[in-house]
Amino acid sequence: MHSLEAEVRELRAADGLSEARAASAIALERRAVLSVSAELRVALYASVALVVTGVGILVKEHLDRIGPLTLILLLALAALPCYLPAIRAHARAAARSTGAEYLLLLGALLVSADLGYAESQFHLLGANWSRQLLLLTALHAYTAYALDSRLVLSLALATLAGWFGIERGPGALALWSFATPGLGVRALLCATVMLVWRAIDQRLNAGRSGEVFEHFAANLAFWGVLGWCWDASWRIVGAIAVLVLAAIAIHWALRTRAEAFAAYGVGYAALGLSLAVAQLTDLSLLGATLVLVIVLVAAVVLRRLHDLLKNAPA
Amino acid sequence: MKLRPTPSEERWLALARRLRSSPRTPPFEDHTGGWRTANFLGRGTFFLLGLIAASMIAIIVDRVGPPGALVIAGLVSLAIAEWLIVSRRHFWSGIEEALEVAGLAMLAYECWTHLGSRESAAEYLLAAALAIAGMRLLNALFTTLAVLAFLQALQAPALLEGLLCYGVALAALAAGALRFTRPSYDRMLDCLVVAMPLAGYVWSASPHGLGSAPDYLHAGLSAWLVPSCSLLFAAAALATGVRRRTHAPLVAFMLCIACIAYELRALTGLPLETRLIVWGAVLLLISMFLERHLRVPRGGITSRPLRDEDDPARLLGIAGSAVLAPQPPTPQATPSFAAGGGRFGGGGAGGEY
Repeated sequence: MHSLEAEVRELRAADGLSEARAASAIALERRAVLSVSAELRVALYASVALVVTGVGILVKEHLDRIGPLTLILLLALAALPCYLPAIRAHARAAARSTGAEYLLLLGALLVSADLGYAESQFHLLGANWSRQLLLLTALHAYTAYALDSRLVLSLALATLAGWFGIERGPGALALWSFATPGLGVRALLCATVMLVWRAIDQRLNAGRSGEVFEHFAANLAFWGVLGWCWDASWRIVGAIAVLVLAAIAIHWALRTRAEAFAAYGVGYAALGLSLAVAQLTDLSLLGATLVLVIVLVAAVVLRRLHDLLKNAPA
Repeated sequence: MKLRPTPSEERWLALARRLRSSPRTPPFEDHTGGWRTANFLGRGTFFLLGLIAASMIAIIVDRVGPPGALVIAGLVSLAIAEWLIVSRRHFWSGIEEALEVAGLAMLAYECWTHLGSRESAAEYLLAAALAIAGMRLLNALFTTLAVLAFLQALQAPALLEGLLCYGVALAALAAGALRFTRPSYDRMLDCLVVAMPLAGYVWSASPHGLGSAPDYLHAGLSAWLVPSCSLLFAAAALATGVRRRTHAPLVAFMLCIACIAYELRALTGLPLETRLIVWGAVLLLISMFLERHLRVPRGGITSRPLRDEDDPARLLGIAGSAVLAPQPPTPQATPSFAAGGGRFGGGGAGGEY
């Protein structure tokens, strides 16, 4: 059990830390106080995941016994109270607790289940049944903005990606399952829609949730073009696209000082180019040398960017 | 020539990380000896690049074709890693860690082929490679993997392996009370405290198969050893975590409780969906109660965040809720509610439940 109290005091004496920050840091080093915020978030997330999975199985297994209308009503009744603490906190203009935040997420997921189930039973949208995901996106987006919830906004964006036909899960995210030109195009289109949405958010909401859009859009777009790099007929397009996207991501990282985008840009570009070269050359001596050069250049560039972003004065 | 940061430099590096500052900017640069580190995402990216580089070195040497190609590739990877550390002052940057561990693994593999390719020898050699890399780089992940590989190499009965894991975890928990000058030693112990009870459960539960739920209602006392070990360690970890106010024992406690819940899943005889909903709701209520109860620090423990969330934590929060979102619809002419599959992700709007 180490303590950096001496270093904190030295830093404070050298004027490297404000009095308040030093006091808080010393309290942490002395272990006078411990925050279990992260542990509680994990527990809350796990509980939401358990309930939602249980509801999914319940719907699947007891469809016949419960009956559609009862089930729809039950899900709606279960979802409603989940929204209440967040609505109440919003009405009072008070800060929402972490518990209320995850309860809101649970409510939104139950509504998703309810609407999905209702559509599957009553075919409300007829041939356009897949638009239920668009409706859900709109509903979750409205909730996210009305109640200022990043978790629900993230759910809305993932639902939108679902409407574009982008699945999740280890199997679906495997690169080879992405190696279809169509899915790559859809991923890029989805990323573009998210960026347009972000621009509107910037204008109307002062971009408070901008970061959520940016991470979603960047990962979707890169994953889409990585699929192209895997595909024999789209390899060249993929390599060019991954370089263009990398340039945009790095430019964004330098502009916003968000190091994650530098890592995305360099990491995905190195991966995409390495994939293309490895497939083209079948990893011959020349191919392996080229991949090694790509990786070393990427490491140097990323290190430079890291130094630039971290060492520059704020 | 410095082979790695001195304890004092390491402490300043740790402080810079805690205060979200760069160790190469004033006032930290005077204390950190010019060592360069990377944050979580950067370190992960560098590590991936390092692994690809080490693989390419192995392929190039193999294509050139001298005898003992893997030894040469391993030595080259090690040489680059050491050059990065000693000359370029990279430490905990990811790339030198990947090259070092990959180089040592290649040497271990080559030794193994010369020793007649026995399975236990492979595990001992892997454990040695990971232990050397872990101690050289002060990397908690490598030292933990080394302990796991060593225990696997012992090839003892599963229950004994499990008990050994709990023993290591308890020893690490006790050693956590010692005062170390290097923060990395604490991280190594923390990593053992978190990983070993989980490994202990997996090992001790493996004889009856992790996928099948044992019938504890009709089982003998000896069968209860598996959940009892987890329970005892959970209690010790909780008491230690609360007393010392450290995270690792609390995380270990949460993992042990999850293991116990999984192990005793058939005890109530309730259907799976009921168990998931009921226990999920109970966990939700307990978490919400604790969050509310600890808003005012009690016994020095609070539910309020004391530091700003860093990037990885924020990204994990965003990604976590996205994972639970409804799955995309499957192409079909008319919607149907086809049972089977169990791919429910929230809405199941695609009709795939």
